[in-house]
Order: sequence, then structure tokens, then C-alpha cells
Amino acid sequence: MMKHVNTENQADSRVIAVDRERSLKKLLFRWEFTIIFLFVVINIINAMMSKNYLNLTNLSNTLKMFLDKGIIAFPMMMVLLLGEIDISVASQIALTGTVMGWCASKGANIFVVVTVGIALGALLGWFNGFLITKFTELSSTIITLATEILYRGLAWMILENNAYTAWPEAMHQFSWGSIGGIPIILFVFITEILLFAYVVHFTKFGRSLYAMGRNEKASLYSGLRTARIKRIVYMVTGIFSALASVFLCSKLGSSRANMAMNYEMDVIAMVILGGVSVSGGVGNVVGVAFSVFVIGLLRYGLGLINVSSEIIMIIIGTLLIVPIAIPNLKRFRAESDFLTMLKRKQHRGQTQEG
Amino acid sequence: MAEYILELKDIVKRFPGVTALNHVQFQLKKGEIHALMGENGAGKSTFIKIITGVHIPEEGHIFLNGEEVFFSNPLDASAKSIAAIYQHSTAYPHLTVAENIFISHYEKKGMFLNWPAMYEKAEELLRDLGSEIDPREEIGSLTVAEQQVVEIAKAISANAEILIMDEPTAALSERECEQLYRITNQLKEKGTSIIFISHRIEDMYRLASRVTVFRDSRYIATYDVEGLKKDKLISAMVGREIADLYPKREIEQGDVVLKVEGLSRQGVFKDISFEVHQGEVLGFAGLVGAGRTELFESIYGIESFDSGKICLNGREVRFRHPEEAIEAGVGYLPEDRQRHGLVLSWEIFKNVTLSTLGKYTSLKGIDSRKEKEAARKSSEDLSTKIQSVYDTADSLSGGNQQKVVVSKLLDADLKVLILDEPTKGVDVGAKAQIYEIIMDLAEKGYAIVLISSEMPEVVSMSDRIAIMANGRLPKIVDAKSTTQEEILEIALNLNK
Amino acid sequence: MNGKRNLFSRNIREIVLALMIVIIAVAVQFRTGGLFFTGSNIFDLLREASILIMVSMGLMMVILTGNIDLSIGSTMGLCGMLCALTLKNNQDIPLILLFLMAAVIGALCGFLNGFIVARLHVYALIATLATKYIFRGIIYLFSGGAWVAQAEMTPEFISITTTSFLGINSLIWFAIGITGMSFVYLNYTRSGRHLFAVGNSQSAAEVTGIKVRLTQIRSFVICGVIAGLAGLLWVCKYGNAQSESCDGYEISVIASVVAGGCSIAGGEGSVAGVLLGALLMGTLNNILPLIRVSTYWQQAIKGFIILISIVINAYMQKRVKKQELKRREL
Repeated sequence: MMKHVNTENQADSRVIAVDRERSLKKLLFRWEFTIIFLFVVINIINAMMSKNYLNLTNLSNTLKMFLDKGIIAFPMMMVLLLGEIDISVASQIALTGTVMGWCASKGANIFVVVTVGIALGALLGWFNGFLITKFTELSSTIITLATEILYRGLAWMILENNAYTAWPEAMHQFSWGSIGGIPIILFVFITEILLFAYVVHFTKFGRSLYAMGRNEKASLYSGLRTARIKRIVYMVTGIFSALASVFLCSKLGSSRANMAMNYEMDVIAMVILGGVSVSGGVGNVVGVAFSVFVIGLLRYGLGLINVSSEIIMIIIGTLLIVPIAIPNLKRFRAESDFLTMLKRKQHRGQTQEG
Repeated sequence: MAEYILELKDIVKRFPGVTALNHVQFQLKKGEIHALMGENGAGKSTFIKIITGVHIPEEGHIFLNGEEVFFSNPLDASAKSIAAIYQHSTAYPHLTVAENIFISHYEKKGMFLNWPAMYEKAEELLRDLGSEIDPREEIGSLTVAEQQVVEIAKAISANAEILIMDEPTAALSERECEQLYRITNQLKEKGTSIIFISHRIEDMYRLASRVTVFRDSRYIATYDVEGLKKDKLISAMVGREIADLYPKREIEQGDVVLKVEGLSRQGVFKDISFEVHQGEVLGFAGLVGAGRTELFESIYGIESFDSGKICLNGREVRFRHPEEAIEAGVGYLPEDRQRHGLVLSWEIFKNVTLSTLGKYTSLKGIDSRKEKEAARKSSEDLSTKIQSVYDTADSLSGGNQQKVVVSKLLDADLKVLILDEPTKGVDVGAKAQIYEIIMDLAEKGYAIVLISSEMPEVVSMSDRIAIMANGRLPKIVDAKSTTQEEILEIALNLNK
Repeated sequence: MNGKRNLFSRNIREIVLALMIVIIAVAVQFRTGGLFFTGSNIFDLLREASILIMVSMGLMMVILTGNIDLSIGSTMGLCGMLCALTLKNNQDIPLILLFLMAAVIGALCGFLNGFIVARLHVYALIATLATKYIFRGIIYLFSGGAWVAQAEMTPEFISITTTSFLGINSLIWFAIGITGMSFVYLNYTRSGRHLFAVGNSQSAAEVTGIKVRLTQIRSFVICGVIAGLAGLLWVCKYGNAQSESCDGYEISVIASVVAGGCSIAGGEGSVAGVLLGALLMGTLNNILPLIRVSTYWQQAIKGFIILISIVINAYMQKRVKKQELKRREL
């Protein structure tokens, strides 16, 4: 509809960008179906490979393996909707886990431990948001890269090569307890889906995320509190990272400075595969929810056929790139020098006749 | 030998929703300074981009020294010795002056870059132009005028035979203008052919030997500057009786709504005082760079200010964020509607409700139906040409896009409307409609600030006119007792 | 006319860095009763810092264009492991071939990064985050998780990093060589200057005819080649190739480059600055055990340095803008 015959590389790059957003939107519609389809396929394959797959106990154990990452996927989605990024989540898990462990080792009860953890997570997240909104010359890329290094560094300082293993009794329940046969973490996860679905798709705050992701300046001029919204989103990310840390510490029964290593890769992959665009303004909760399961169950399934964890790393790494690269293939073809040359010859021919 | 060094025939350039150039023509003689004049939106900028290879015309021919040429990108144009200097800088801010000059043709000694030679040559070029700029300086730390001089040096260094200067005097002081005139004449002496685009009639009289006028994307005429009467030129630029174009109404004014006293912001504007009444249109005239947008961005809450007072309906206010301004009843129509006014890829109804989402949100979520209804009603009221409220903003023409932004503003409960260049890039038909809308709004009791760089527009549509220059606001005149030229003179003289 | 920025103000960052190093060195010297300024300690410091200096130069190329490369640690490890495995199985391979191999593998890694960023238009952060894991996974594919031990490598290979030339260790010569080449490339060649141009303003570069995508790919390839060579030297120096070798090394490299004054947005940076930044990091690594600070503090210190550096950069940019506004007479 908007194609300029003579667009090529120099003309309105805005048009190209809008075009790309357009095709992104169209892609997204198909994307949700693709993800749901993948979800079904993976379950079928896994079930075929392991007779015990559909066993309730096995399933709930499987879920425990990745739902803690899934907990962070939704706040991360909000971050990406804004057009930003946060690669410090894994370090936030490690630091909150370390501090929680320290509290526990001093004999604090479960309420204190968890509250301290969550409060710390909120602080770490808020600090990210503060830096990003105060120093607008700096991108969220470099800021969260710096805090990623700093936060885990602090965890190393505190814990060195040791581990905290003395937790209050109740800690065990988080990851290992269940209600009516359903793991607690699944309850939390489903509640989260509903919560984020409401906030992102039914509130002014959610609409603001999409607006800011598409055009932050226009959002500001229209009266949206862009800085405040960013700080809130990063703080929420911190809170849920801390929550994920609670579940992880519970699952492992300990906290170490190197816990949750490389978690950010999976979380970001879950969000990107879920159809959320890294440039912002595109994506929805359904896609992310299914994508969490796709990646989690994919890992599980690959483990079933004894694929080494390193090869799994390669696969998930590729899954980070592919969903971003696909919508860009059109532009890739447009920029290919060979094709450009052909188009030029075409234009020359036209003008000479005209 | 061809009669003209550059000739364009029958050029047509279209963008979605608008024809930017409608069979225009242009002839440039070798060694002449040829002025290109016309109002905002007449097509001058697009035309220049055709010559420099940024845009490719749908129809038409370009001849260089009699031979037809095709530019598919800016490189083709610069290869043919065509260079351009724009209002906004196209420099590399952290690189040195010398490097900016030689960026596309480095001096080499064998395989390696020869910096001493480049610094020497750059120094020579700059001294020739009468400038004392140090070639080792980072170009980003120079003033606009100085950066322009560097751009000119760059063009000379690239042996440009044709130089296009796009509104170079827009942000210059009087003294800097004189320097630019001197340099431009110097270039002419050396045989460079120059196309000089400017709003300022004085520029034309000082420099050009011939002038071409564009109006409404069309070629109007070419005149010899010598002996050309100002009225003839203006009527060619404007085309009709001014009274026809601008539907000004006499509207009864009420109390003072917005009052600004002594507003200052370091390095941007100083000691600004004015007031706007209910039902009044207060025009803000001035050259580009005078500080009008910056002033209102400070009032609206995008930026802050250092000292002074703002009163809304008698109460002192200070908006720390646009949300507060909108809440209090002050709305702002941004100058750049595509970057600051709209989310281009969004549907119209989402754009219209962006400032007032609270109205449409409840526990049940955002009421889409109510949104679309509001958008539909608004586009009816403003005669926005759309197929449906589901249309995305980027599919509309400039004028209709502007109406969508107006719809957004009107969706809120406002008392003051600040309109920053509301008809920039809008075709004539839509312009007239927008003027009617402004009048309707004034009748309804809004206090309206009309920022405009189009002299005819600001003179005809305002009740009073505040003239800004170089960050100051020294004079507010009554629109009925002034002329375009007088305002221009004031705006220029204040640059001294 | 604007105040001319003399030699001092233009190089203020480098001067501050040098001063910092000197101050730290002197402070430690006093604190530890003379442990710092010994011949062996200084040489140790320089040897240790050599690899960091080299890789920092490589990363600088990428950062100048406005991108980032988180995968350099994995590239180093990959080249190191593949060369070590080759050496293990072909003990009589000429060493020069090993170096060539490291460079080529590094170039391929860099090319992949560059392709994904420049042609597929994936943001560098995400692209290199992904390749960091992908390359690391490939290491395991080849190594099966095992090490290549010193005994499995030839003595003449091991001796590369223990030999000296003119009394200076070969590693230091490598660092000097790479630094020198980087200096010449970035200041005296067109393609080197293009890195700055693209980082300054992509749009202006396109209009001027600079091949932006090619420049970006080139920066990644150069970075990859240097990382590859560094990875090989790493194996040589430490006498083994582990599957986790150089994991997380990018933290130190980024700290060096950022502390050395390269703007993360691109377009600004100097070889001298990055050299000093790497020396600062090297000095810190050296003195921590001397003043008996646990090595577990290192990461936090690096994170802190990166944070401080970028905040200072941002403040200085703000200040420049404010000063320009102050200069405007109204």
C-alpha cells in the first residue's frame, strides 16, 4: 500500500520503518498461531518420546524447571514493549538469593527472608530505572550491562565460593509444595498471566507501554509520564526477579553467587519468541505465555533425548536471533546490492520512455 | 556549450496523499546566484532533494550542461559536483573540522592519511573565507554559523560547481549574515553556480541576479532581480488576494487566560512577557531559531525555565510535565507532527485518545467503542478525510494528519491552545480548513497562540502579533496596523 | 569565537587515567612496603595486561561504530580450544599455521556477528548475547567438556609466551604490535576513519557514500581476528585449553574500553585511552592480591568502574551542552 517505487536506501527511512512495523504486525497475528502450534507439537513429541511424560508428578517436576524463568518473562515483556532491555535479571536473582540466604542464616523467619528479598529486588530494579531515566544519553543496553556485572559482583563479594543452605522450613514449600496436586509455582505463574494480561491489555498503563514503544516523544507530548512508567517497569522487573529467586533457592535448597547463570538468555528468548518486538510496541501476553512453555518444554524434550546442555545453549541462542531476523528478511532482500542494481536499471528504462 | 549548467524540466514528485512537485521547471545559468523563493510547503525542500539525489522524481528530466543525468542516490549527485548546505547540520559532531571537510576525499600520503596536509589545506580554505576557525576543533563545539562556513569550505574543497544553500540565513545574526553574503559572492566570483533558498527577501536583493518562485508545488515564474518590485514577488508567492486565503473573523475577546511574565531560560530565551485573551489569536512571528518552540516547550512542561512567572486564569502555575499542563487546560500542537504528534503506525482512534485515556478506562478495561465514537465524531466535526477510524495515521495526508492531532487536543478539556506551525507541510485546501477550525475554536472561547514562520499567515490570522528574535520578545504589534514586511524588518533588525 | 581547546583539555581523559594509575601504584607501594614497584611485579603486570590490551583494541573497533560485542570471551575460548585440539592431534604442525587458524576462526566468528547485526538488523546486544552462548556451545561440541592439558601440547608452542625478545616478553610485544597497528589503522586509514564516521552519524555516512553495513561487518571481523589470536595466546600462557576458558572475559574488556573513554554510543574514543584503560584494569588486578583484597571482589569493582565511567561520560556530555547554552549571548 505504501510502497514507493523509488524508495531504495536513501528515501524516507521513516517509511521503511513503518513498513517494517506493518509487516511485523501482520506477522504477529500469524505468530501467535505459530507459537500455539509449536506448543502443541512439542507436547506431542515429548509425549511420544517419554511414556511417563503425561504423568502428573513428572509434569509438575518439569514445570518447576522453567517456570521460575517464566515468572520474569512477563515483566521483561513490558520492558521490551517500551523498546528497552534488561539483561541484569539473572544477576538480580543471584544477589537477592544471596542476601536472602544471609538473612536465613541469621535465623530470620520465612516472612522476613522473603520480604527482604522482594524489597531488595525492587531496589535493584528501581536503580536500573533511575539510571535509565536520569541519564537519557545512556541506553538501557549499557546501563543494564553495567548493573548486571555489578549486581552479581556484589553477590560474589558477599558469598565468595560458599553457599547458604540453612533455610526456614517453609522455604521448601515454595518449589516443592503443591495444592491439590498442582505445584505452587504453577499457581503463581497462572495468577501472573492473568495479572499481566489485565494490566497490559486493559489498562491505561498498558496502552501507554505500547505508545511509548512506538513513539516515546509523541507519548511525552501527549501527556504520558514516560519517565515514571519506565521506572515502574524496571522496578516490577526487579520484584519479579526476586520472586523467581525465592523459587530457585527453594528448588535448589541453597543460594550461591553463581546461581541463575545465563538465565537472561532464556527469559529474553521466551519474550522474543513470544512475538514481542525488540524495537517496542508490538506483542501480547498470550504469545509470551505459550512461548514460556515452548522453550521450557523444548529444553526438557531435548534433555530427554540426551542432547547436551551446551547444544541446547546453541539452540536457544539461535532462538534469540531468528524471531528478530525473520521480519527483517524483507529489508535484507531490499538492501541486497544485486537487487538494487536491477531496480535502478528498471527505473532508468522507465524515465527514458516517460 | 549549453545555455544552462543545470536544467530541470517537468519534474513530478509524489508522496502518499500529496503531490509535492507538480511539473516544475528550473534553469540555472553558470556563475549566477539564483534565488528560489516560495512559502512553506511550496515544494522548495523537495525540489532540492531531487537535485541532490535524495529523492527520485516520478516524472521529469534533469540536464547537466545539456546532457541528461539520473541520480539514484546522493553519491551520484555529488559525483557530478553538486553540493548542498542545509539548515540542519549534516556534520559528524565528534570529528574535527578538517576531517569533516575532507571526509569524502581524504588527502593521502601513499597508503596513509596525510593529516598535516589536510589541516594546512583546511586552514587555507577557512582563511580564504575570512574565518578564524581552528581546523583541529571538534565541529560539534562550533556555532551554527561556524558549522555552515565549514560546510561551505567542504563544498569548495570538493570542487562543487553547483552549490545549493537551503535557508542558510535562518539562524544567523545580522553580522553572521553579512559574512555569509560576502562568502557567497566570493564563490560566485570563482565561478560557482548557486541556488539560494530563503524566506528573506533581503537575501534575494543582496545576492541573486534572478529569482524563481514556487507556489503550491508548482512553478510560477522566473524574474530578474534587478528592478523587481516587492509586491510583484509577494503576489507571485502568495498568488491570491490575501483576504481570500485567510478567513479571519472578528471575534469578541474575553479575559486574560494565559499570562507570562519575565520568563527566561539560560541560553535559550530571555525575559519573555505576553498575555493571551479568551477568543484571541496571538500570533508568534519570527525567523527559524528565534526560540518560539523552545519557549512554549518550557511553558508546556517539556522543558523547565530558570526564572519568571506563568499565570493561568489568574493563578500562578508551573507545569513540570505535559500531563500537568493538559490537566490545567493548556494544550500544545507540536511543530513536528510526525515525530511528536502522532504514533504513525497506530489507528486514528488510538491517536485521538492518547492524551485522555482516563476518560475511556474503567475496571472493565479500555472502552474501544467509546474511543472509536469519539474519533468518528471528531473527524466529522473537523472534516478529516478518512475512510474509517481504523485508518492508520501514516496513511493520511499532511493536512488530515494535522486534524487528527487537533482531534487529540480537543478531546481534552482545554482553555489554551498552542499551535506550533499548524499548516506546515499542509496543502492549500487543508490549510483553509485548518484556518476555519482555528476561527471556530476562537469563537468557542479558546485562547490561541499561533506560532508561524509564514508571514502572510501570521499577519492575516492573528489579532495581535508577538515578534521573537534571538530568544527575546521585544515587540507585540496589532495585526491590523502592520504589514509582513514590517514584521520581517523588526525580526531581522533585532538580530543586530 | 569559541575558546580553543588546547592539548590539555582535549586529552583530559587520558591524563586523568594516567594519573589514576600512578596514584594507585604509589599508594600501594607505600601500603605494602614496596611490593609494587619491583621489576618482577611490573613485568608480571604488563604480561597479564597484554592480552587484555589486545582484545580491548579489538572491542574498541566495534564500539566505535556504535555496536557492542559480548561474544569476545567465547570467541577467544573457541579459537583457543580448536587450535589446542589441532595441536594435540598434529604435534608437528608449524606454529604459524596455528596462528593463521586462530585468526581465520576468529574472523569467521566476527563475520557471523557482523552479518547478523548489519544485514539481518538484529541489535548488537542481543545478537552477540546469542552468539556468546552459541560459540560457547560449539566449544563443548568439539571438546566434549574435556581439557587440553599442557602435556598434550608441544613444548615449542608453550614456549611462545615464555620467550623474550630484547629482554621483553613476547606477550608484551604482541600487545605493542596490536596497539601500534590499531593506532595506525584508526588514525591513518580511510576504513579506520569510517568507523568513527559511522559511529558519529549513520545517516550522514550513508549520504557521504560510506558503506555503513560493510564498515560494521569489518569492525566485527577485526575484533574477531584479534580475539582469536588472543585466545591462542591465552592457551599458550596458561598452558591449557578449558571449555570454560575466557568465560566472562568480556567484562574486563568492556571495563577497559569504557574506562578508556570510548562512548558506548559510538564515534568517540582513542587508542591511548583504551590502552590506559586496560592498564588501569591490569593494575587493579595486580594490586588486589598485594593489598590482600579477595579476588571475589574483582567483578564488583569492574562493574562499579563501568558504571562510574559511563555516568561520567554522560555528565560531561550534559556539561558541554550547558556550556554551549551559556555562551549564547541573548
